[in-house]
Amino acid sequence: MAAPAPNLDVFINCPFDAQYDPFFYAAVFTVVRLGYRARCALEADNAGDSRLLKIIKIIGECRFAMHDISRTELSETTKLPRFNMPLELGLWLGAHHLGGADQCDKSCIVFDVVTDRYGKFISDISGQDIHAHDGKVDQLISELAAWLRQQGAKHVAGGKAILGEYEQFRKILPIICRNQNMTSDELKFADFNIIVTNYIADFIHRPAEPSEATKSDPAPSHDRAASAATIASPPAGNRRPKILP
Amino acid sequence: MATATKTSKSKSYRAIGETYDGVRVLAPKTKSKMFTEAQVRKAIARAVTEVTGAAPKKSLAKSDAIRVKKREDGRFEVKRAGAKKASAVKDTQTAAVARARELDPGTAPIVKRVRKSSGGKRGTWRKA
Repeated sequence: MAAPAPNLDVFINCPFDAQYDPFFYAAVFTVVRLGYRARCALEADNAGDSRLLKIIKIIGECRFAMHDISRTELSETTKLPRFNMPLELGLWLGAHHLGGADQCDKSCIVFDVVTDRYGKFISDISGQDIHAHDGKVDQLISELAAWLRQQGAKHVAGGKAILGEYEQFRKILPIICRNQNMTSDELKFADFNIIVTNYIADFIHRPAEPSEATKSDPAPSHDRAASAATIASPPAGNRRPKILP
Repeated sequence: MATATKTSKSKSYRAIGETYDGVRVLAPKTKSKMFTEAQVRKAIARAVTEVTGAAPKKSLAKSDAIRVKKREDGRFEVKRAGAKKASAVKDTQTAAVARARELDPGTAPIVKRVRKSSGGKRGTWRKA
């Protein structure tokens, strides 16, 4: 019998608001860049079904997950915190520990702003390895990429190089949206996802070898990371659609 | 790309391309309701051209390379771009490609695919 196909779905559980968008976009970009498929509660855009059931279905289908429980601030209007992220983390842990045989190999990464804060508001998961992104996108990309590599992702560029590629993508995203007669804040998750996947598939190319001048006068590390990704026209015949097993 | 892991459900992924470092990029689970993949690729290509200032690459079909194509009688013709008559007609594709290389040694001839392959559909052009 043929070996079962790998499960490459990554569930992204994070706040969905304008303030968190750079982190969310960075997470989706990193997941796709490492050969996985990004999924989140926003893809369940069907008013005919219960939202919770749709989220449970997605969680059941994903082997990997990224949970960000850093949003603990009170809402300005309601003066209450958002509990969706801890709830979805709980659903994930429940599926992992109580689900059937197909759920037992689930694996997830949990992010907070700092590593030792979560014990004060969600002490039941004390003892878990929580990763900190320090409120910085580059830290999130670096930690997430390193974790996905641990899960079996092919070794690609390191966090700084992926950050460079992501920054190039962020520069070009408003122009892509303008070409589609819309603005980038109007993008839905499905739209953003299709743009990211096509961009990564066709428009990220091997960084140019550093010239002699660059070698002798190296730029600061963050500048090198930003210039690592190069944008070029798509090579002819680069598109090779294939069905994976 | 990740290595195979256990799962009870059979999953099939469609890869829409591969990065320079060999990572297969998987198509998203959900489709966009706003635009198609082709529209997105065009929009990205236009944006990249706008940012880099580079002219978009010509497709192989529009290139000036000598082309090799299968005829209705099963033989292969060698034709220059825009020519009405074939420069040569050979029994095999290999022979036709060799003749095309002789006619224009500096440029790789292009060949119309006779069967579907991982590189593209039947009837599309490839470099020989």
